[in-house]
Amino acid sequence: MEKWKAVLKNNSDILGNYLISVLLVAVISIFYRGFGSLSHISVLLSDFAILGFLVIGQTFPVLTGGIDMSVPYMMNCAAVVLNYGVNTKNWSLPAAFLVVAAITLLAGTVSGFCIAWLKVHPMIMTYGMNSILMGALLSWTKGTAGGFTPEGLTIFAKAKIGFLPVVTLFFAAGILTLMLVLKRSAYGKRLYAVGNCKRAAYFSGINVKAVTMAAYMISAVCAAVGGLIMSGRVGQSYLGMGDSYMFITLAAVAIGGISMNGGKGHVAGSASGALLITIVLSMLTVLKASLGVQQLLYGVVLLGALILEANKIRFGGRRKKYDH
Amino acid sequence: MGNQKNRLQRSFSNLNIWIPYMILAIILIIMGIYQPGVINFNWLNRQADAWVTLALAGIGQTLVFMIGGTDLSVGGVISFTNCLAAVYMPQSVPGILAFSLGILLIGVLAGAFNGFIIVKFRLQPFIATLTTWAIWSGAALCILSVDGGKVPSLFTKALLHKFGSVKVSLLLLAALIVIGIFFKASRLGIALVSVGSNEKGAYFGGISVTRTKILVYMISGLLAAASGLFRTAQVASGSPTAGDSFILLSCASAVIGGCSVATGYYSFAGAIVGAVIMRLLTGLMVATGVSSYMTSLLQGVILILAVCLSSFTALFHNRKKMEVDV
Repeated sequence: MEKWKAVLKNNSDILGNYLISVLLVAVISIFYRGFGSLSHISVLLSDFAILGFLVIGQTFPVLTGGIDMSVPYMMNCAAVVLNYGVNTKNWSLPAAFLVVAAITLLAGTVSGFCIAWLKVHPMIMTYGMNSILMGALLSWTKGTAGGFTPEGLTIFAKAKIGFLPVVTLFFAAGILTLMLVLKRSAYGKRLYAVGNCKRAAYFSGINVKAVTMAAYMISAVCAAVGGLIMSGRVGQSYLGMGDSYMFITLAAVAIGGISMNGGKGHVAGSASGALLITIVLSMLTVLKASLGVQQLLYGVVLLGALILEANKIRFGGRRKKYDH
Repeated sequence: MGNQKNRLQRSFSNLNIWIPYMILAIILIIMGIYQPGVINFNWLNRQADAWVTLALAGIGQTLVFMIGGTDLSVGGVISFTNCLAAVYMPQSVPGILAFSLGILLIGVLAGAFNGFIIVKFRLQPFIATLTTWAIWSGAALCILSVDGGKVPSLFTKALLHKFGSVKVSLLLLAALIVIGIFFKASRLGIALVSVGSNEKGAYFGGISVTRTKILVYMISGLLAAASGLFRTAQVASGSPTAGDSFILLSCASAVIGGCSVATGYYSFAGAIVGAVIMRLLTGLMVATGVSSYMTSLLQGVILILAVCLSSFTALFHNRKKMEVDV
């Protein structure tokens, strides 16, 4: 009982996020009738699954104190390679999935390797990787990256049990798995150690470089899964389908209580951030806010979350001895 | 023996400094072979317009790199100033002057805000400027949701004016190289190197770390706003996504320009050459017949290669200091 109380107390802001999300839906559905209907909630839930996969992937690099800015083209790449391969190159569906998995793992490994071993700054490396993937995609498909999504994937992405979309259940399973990885596996413990202090982790015998590289690989795979589900829901793929997600994933991670300095927070927290953002996003669509206002809001929200988090640490007494 | 090793090391860092000039020479030679007779003074004049926008942003990024930060908000500031100038610029001469000054001031304020949140709340620079990038480009989208706007012809003419046969942009590039020499010897130019290499040491050495950092971000914002103004004059319209490509390119030109926190070396001329290299890549690809779809791929690869090279220099230094390699 005591243990559960401690868990509740430590995660109060995450619970707050879930509570605010539910309250938001309830309040808006008073003003706009359709907002709280079961069909709209099921739409929200499958949007949540797409964003959620990207966000739980992003959690891992952020936990090491890095960042993954290659999420937009990683998801785009997965979707376009699958569709282009099946439609134009006549690959079979399993083969296409294998190629997608290989490409995303390769891209994640290259980013992770350069960051861990060659000491490239994570932001520069992943943003460069974003640019490389974009160029590779453009030159491979010659700019015609459309094409319809294969039927199997569309059926999976649109399937429902009652009003619950299957992809949301799939996402819940994803959270559970990654949560177990973080909290119960040796890799999770090592990841937190690396995020908190690389030096101390190194002296305790942890292979810091391998742990960092694995974080970027996990992020790449999660982004690819998110991209595939999105292409399944939309029914086709197009270039630039992930562009708006660069800020959103970071904002969700920051709201979800993951420290940008690394070593604090977990997957369930970042999922709560994703849920809150999904609902705010659809609220803005209902209120007919323009793209500019939306982007402005992401910036302000992200900044606010960061400042709150930074101040919490300072009030908690971990203040540096000298002050500039 | 130790002396010899030292000399070897110094020549290694010197190599880093000369790399941008060598790459530029190689690119020019290749272009000269494929398209003989293209490279002359007129070509230089025409190209300088494209170079100056990136060179301004690249110099700002170089200075920010030197204090151990990153400024992603250059993209947002360029988009915002571009849209603002394209929509609201008045027609009269005093109006244009006042408006341009106002835009430069906005750049300075944007930079000061970046510096303030980074110093005050101890945020990581790349995250803090990521948020301001989102804010400024959101503001740009609010002003102008699609490409468009109208720029007064007087403003365009003024920034594209030719003195004799030399364009304003070319003169500005030359002026920046000269300013760079004086800036490196100035109080701020020295302070920023010491802040970048050892913040605590600089603080105990009597340098105001806060002031240096905020000033550097202010300069970066100012240069980004100036770059936005030049972009407006050249294209004669506004685009809410004008600045996005500048982020990667400005980082690349700073890194290729040979700036390194580990060795404490930076120069305006290097950053300008870095910018010229990034701009010439497109021309090079046209000359050698490579598909233009490869542009962004090549830009990414070159950026990462350049960063790897400069991080090798840092690794070299760390090994000397017996730092742990994690």
